[in-house]
Amino acid sequence: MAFWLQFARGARGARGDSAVRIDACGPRMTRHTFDLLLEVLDHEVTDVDDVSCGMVDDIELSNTPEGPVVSALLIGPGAWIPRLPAMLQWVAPKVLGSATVRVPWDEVERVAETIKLKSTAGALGLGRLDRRVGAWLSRKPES
Amino acid sequence: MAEPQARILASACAMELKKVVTADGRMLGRVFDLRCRWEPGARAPVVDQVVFGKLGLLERAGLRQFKPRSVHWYLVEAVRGDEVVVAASKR
Repeated sequence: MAFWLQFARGARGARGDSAVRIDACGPRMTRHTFDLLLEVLDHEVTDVDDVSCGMVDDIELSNTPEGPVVSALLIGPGAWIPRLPAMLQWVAPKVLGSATVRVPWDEVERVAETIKLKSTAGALGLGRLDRRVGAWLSRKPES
Repeated sequence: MAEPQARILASACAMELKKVVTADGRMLGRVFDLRCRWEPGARAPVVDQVVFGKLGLLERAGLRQFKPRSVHWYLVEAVRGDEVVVAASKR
């Protein structure tokens, strides 16, 4: 995406017409409606430091007097395994585990190309595997 | 983390592909998306509309020029089993 935006910026120089700003995030930034499955599900989640913390694997809905509200994002194999074909639903938990991290919607700062959170991944219990692998690599003498 | 006060209704994935039927039993299509309204900084997004039908599938595939059929949530009478029951239209 950034490549095409840079291309558009370059074209402005040649033709003098307007171009999309490189830091633009599209109309979703200002719209007050969005499609939950199209624009949130399976999108990347980044924490307050822009560290990737995985994908939105499912979305929890709660019933309130106003109607259903989005109460949390569910991240982890336990959230996406139910979406697999039946046979894989039996195998996948044995291989990948069934951990699910529930991120309350209050922690969501912005819905754009990625879902930006207000806290760090560590504070929300996200990216545990990444941190474990990082710690293991840092102990290796050649790293 | 504290559980919300509200009762857990379902997950969004569980709502996907449910049949949308009217109270008098007419099938309208299948759920392809849930349209929400939300302002950053405000409370959690509220599900406003259920997007359904073949054009809903095309929109889900990223073809945004299509205007899929949708029904406001206040017209949803029940969510049971594999069905979302909406108020019967007079048309």
